[in-house]
Amino acid sequence: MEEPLEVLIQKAQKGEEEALAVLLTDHYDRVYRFLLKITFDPDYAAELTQETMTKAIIAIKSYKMKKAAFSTWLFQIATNVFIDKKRKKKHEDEYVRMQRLQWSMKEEPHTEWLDIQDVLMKLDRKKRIPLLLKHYYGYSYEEVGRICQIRIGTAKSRVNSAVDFIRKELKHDEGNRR
Amino acid sequence: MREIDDKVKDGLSQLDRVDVQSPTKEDIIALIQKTKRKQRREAILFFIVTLILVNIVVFSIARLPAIYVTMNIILIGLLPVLLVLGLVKRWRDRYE
Repeated sequence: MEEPLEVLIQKAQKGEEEALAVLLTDHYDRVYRFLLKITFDPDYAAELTQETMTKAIIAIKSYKMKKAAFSTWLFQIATNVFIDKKRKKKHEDEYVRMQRLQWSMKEEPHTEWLDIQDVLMKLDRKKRIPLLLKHYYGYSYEEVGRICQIRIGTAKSRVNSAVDFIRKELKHDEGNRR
Repeated sequence: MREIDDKVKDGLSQLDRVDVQSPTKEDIIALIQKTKRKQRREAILFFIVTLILVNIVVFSIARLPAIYVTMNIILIGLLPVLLVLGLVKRWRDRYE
């Protein structure tokens, strides 16, 4: 029988490897998909997920259940890992990244999706992550602020600015097609 | 706003079609053990380096010969650490 999340967390914090392994295995997919939506690169997302898991293993004792959900805490670590790595990693050719992403998808993506992906790629990561958290995962501004470690006001302005940017870019694309 | 919301959601949910190769529980346990080993190694290394540096600074201020630094490091630092590590290893061999 599966144990409730709270029990697993308590056991993991006491040092039970089995409980921690169950927790991380259960959340692996979610973290990977979150990182994939930020990076648009399957290999890089896998690398960052592995690093997120390692950081979570080290910091599990400092996790406080009352402060945030376990997945929110993992997203916060993943965001930090992404930002830290981004500083070190050289800018990769967007075309190569796009090809690799399409290659790893089971079916051919439709053109409208490619447009929106193109726009999201152009978006600065500082705005892309809050937008993703707010408009895809449905987090509140407070949670977005906590995950990205920014103020609520900053989170709001980044999301609004990202939405404006997408609106403009999509209009521009439509205009070009006509 | 809603239109943008839907487009972003649609666009990003397409990424869920990417195949994920999730690790098994055993893989994660191996990662946990590897991480803990690495952490332990780093802690020991930190202890040794700090011990050596502090000793060098203190003894150089006191202007004592280098042999005292070496003796002090061995006596107050390394011997107790090696003793504790030996005890931990024996305990592990017996109970794990």
